[in-house]
Amino acid sequence: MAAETSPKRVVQPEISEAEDGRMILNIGPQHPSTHGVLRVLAKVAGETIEEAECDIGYLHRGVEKLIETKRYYQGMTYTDRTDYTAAPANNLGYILAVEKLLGIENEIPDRAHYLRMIVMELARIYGHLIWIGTHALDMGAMSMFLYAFREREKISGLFEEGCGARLTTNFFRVGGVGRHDDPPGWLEHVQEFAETFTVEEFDTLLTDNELYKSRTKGVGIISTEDAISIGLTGPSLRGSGVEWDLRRHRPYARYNEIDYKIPVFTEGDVYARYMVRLNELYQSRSMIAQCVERARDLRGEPANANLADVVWPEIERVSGWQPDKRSGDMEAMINHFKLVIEGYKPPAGDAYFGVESPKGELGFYFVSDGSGIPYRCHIRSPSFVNLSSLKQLVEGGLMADLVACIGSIDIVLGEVDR
Amino acid sequence: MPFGTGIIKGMAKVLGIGSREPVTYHYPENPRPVAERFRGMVGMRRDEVTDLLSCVGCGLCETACPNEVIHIDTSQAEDGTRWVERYEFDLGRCIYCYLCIEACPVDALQVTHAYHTLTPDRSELVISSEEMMEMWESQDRFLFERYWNE
Ligand code: SF4
Ligand code: SF4
Repeated sequence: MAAETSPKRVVQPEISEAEDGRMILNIGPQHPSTHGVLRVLAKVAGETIEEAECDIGYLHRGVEKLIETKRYYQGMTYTDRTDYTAAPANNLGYILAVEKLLGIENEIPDRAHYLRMIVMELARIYGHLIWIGTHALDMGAMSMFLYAFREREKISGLFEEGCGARLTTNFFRVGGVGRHDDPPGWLEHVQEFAETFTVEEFDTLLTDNELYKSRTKGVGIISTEDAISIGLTGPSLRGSGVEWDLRRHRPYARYNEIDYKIPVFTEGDVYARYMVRLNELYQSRSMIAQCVERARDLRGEPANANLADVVWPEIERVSGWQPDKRSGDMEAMINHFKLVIEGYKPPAGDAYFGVESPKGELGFYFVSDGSGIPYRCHIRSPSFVNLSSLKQLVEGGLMADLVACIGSIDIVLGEVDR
Repeated sequence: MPFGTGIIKGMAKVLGIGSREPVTYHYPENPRPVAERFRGMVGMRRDEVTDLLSCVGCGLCETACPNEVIHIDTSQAEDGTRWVERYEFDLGRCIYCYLCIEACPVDALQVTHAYHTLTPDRSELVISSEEMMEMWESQDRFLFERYWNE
């Protein structure tokens, strides 16, 4: 055992030596079905898992600490790299927390909110699609994976059209959406996507599939009480019968102005969590259509707050390489230099903001000491908290169900380890 | 519903989808067109008047970059003239966030659609302002074409 041969680096202290026919099985960290670099140590008796222990940290990059060394506007580039399956959701969490810290939440124009919501819901579909594809692949449904990625590719294209990047979007800016205001035709493309997005296809392929049902129904059950006491959030919690969605219960942006349902299933098993996510795909699709409509009505209105001491760059006012464009606005130039070099300085204090990311409650907590660099940044990542339920899900179950359970809580190791 | 109905329904769906047009691109022979806003490598504008670097050496891009990609040295002559001695861009560290472009007050840094950084040697990824200007002028050319053709 590793614990004996290398006493300096004890990596599996929790599970004791196997005895009387028990075996300790090491799953991961390089196993495709662990959805990243997760290592699970399972003590098995035959096919039954008696004890399971997660070993994480393989993807730890110190994102929080890195953010504490950067100005606020730079820190956002790192949030793309925590939950990389739905980067704009992290961007939004970060931005909203900084806006709260600055105390400018009420100054954000409506159009910015709707654009953010469009991107956020696209990100939810984006995140759920990768989940539905890989989870179904784990369960042996190969074609789902291909179709999910085909649809996902369209969203990548929309992100690319909107902000220039497909994966690491860095989409929003404090005060609005920065330079990533909707380009001509973008809203139409989003609407076209919302109209043609084929959730029904996934529904037909999986929901009634007897093989899928027999692999997932009654597997990995977590009760409502346990789910709450562990701190599960997002679809995993709603699969256990708790109606808790930050979009509705702690509304941000303009989520309280559009219509949507919160799918809740009470069984608490893998299938219930699948049903929640599947129904969220339907909901997000209709939310996107509503938001596009509102954003269209607001066309022509600004997408950035009119706050000279926060919103940068004022590149139109500053930049002057074409003589006819030159504004010669010295005040703006000085302000721009100040903003880039010092960053905006929130007043001393702290702020927490949680958004409903595709995985659950994604929160950013900042402590400011009044300088342009956060004194402390903490990320409450849903994957990390949700992963702590794995022990409960798999213990007592079959080895083959482990894969279904890991898949069903939708973890991203970039976010678990940060 | 008798057992197997769901499976058969799914199979029928798969067969139906199989008859659709392919959605993939055959990269690299036939790369996918990129969007107008696509964030490729950062290029540098060549000044129309002087035909040289349009950077004024203010250093804002260096400050705004979260990854220490850009290194600038500036010099000043005795008569007070200033110029950019060295402009170095380490593509290997760049995360294409474009904060530098947003920061540049004279629009010297420019968006390009070039994205092939194929090279067997990391040190080749440190490019000079001259290469950045070439990249901006030729937009989508392969940066390390020679390796690509090999
Ligand atoms: S794109 Fe981002 S990482 Fe690259 S040089 Fe500019 S600021 Fe730095
Ligand atoms: S911000 Fe623009 S002008 Fe200033 S140093 Fe960078 S490239 Fe040159």
